[in-house]
Amino acid sequence: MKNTDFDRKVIEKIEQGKYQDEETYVDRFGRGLYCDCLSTTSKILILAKQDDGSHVFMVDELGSNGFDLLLECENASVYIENRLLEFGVDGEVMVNNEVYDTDDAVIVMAGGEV
Amino acid sequence: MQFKAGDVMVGINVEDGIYTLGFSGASGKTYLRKLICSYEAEGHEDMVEFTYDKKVSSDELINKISKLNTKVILLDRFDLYFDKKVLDVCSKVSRITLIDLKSDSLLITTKAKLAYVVRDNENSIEVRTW
Repeated sequence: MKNTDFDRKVIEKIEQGKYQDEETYVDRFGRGLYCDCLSTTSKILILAKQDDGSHVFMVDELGSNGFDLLLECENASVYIENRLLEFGVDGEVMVNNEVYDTDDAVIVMAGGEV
Repeated sequence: MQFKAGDVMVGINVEDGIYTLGFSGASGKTYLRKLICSYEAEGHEDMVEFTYDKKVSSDELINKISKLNTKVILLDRFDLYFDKKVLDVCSKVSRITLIDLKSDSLLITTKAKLAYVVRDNENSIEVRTW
């Protein structure tokens, strides 16, 4: 973890806790925990934010409460299965029946940008 | 159905059946599995958990489950080793089967109902339906 607005937001929104330092956070019950106790969703988001596009993150692994934060990971490559994905109007995309605005995301399908 | 793992009271408060534990991150699914794991390690046989890193085939898993006389089976990340046969056996040997799936694509196949992990405080965790 890093002391960034994004990592703090992940801890607050997903874990309902507070960032403490690069190795620890305080969970929703006020208990200090090491970052290896973070949920899979938080780990994915924190890593995706730091990624330079050299890894691919599967949306399947992400909890449903993490997708809007994943859209803020502007350099991450994300794999979304077709069955989870529908396109709406005005740059909206529907993933797992939730609607998101994709202004900050580039969606590529079968080699072509949408 | 309740048990204690360390200082934590665990309640599995759903009717008999197959349940998936929702798709939200940080709800406590992994924590619940670890609590059941530690409870099992104390020698209790009424709660059992399996996860993908135990590296057993479906037949081996079925063989293990078939020998059990248990009340609750938790299959963590079942999407990674999904086999309908495993689920069928779970239904026969256990009253409650909890499956963790990372996506809803297997929900129809499993016919699982939705349950939630709820943590009201540090010393309790509960599985329940709304």
